Amino acid sequence: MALSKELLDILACPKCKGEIHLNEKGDGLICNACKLLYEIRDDIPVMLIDEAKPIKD
Amino acid sequence: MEFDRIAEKYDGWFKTPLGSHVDRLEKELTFRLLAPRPGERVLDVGTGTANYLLELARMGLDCTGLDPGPTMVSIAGAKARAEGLDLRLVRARAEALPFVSQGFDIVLSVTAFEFFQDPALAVSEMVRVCRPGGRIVIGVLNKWSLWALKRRILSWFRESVFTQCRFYSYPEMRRLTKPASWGTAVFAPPWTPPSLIPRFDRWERRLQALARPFGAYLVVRRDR
Repeated sequence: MALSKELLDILACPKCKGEIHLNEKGDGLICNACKLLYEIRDDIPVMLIDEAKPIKD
Repeated sequence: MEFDRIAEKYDGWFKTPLGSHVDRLEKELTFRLLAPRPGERVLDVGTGTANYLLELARMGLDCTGLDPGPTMVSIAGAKARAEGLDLRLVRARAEALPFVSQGFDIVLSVTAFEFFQDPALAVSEMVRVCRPGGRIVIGVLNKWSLWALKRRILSWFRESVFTQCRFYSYPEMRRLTKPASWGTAVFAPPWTPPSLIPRFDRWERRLQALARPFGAYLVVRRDR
């Protein structure tokens, strides 16, 4: 089960509150401004700043 | 995380005679102040096992909930699926809500505020994600009650969910949340035997009016 569009529409980066988008694999949400990846585990987005992974350019 | 280990025990308590009495009175007061309407978008901050959020989903609201730990959220998800209800669940912290501003009609938080590390920041986040004209309702365990005293004393002797939390009184909640209205419920003491519960049920409404600062469960409502 993928994330619903309704949920994607209201989600924001917990750090900068800016826009996030699904990554290519569909298993994470990316904030371009903070360069962070928030993983989706067991269909649940893990929107915890401590657990976000830095993205390399 | 401690919360994850006690999740099932936590749900079990609400099925005892006193637990179900307390749960019913707390829900009555919360929903009186919340005034939920079908179709409204609600966010439940610290949803736990989704006790309140499932109730709101049954009423036809559009429900989103968050909790930081994995176990509470997965139990919440399993309960929703078992009932065929649709909850949107996210792991997040109250102090850093992962939502766009003004996206919800109602922001609710029940018996979770006690565990927030930065309550003032949590309030400002809850206000941020609530639309103008919306409402923010926060229910806490009242510091000025025998239940809080009992929990505090027990937590000295054994590990409980309340070991690492802080309780709030109405003046403290007023300072933090600037509420438009408030109330308390649950006047039966924590050692009430099942046989006396009907008597406390009869006195409850009168005590809610006469001894308002001292009910075991305190709810504040802030209008955005």
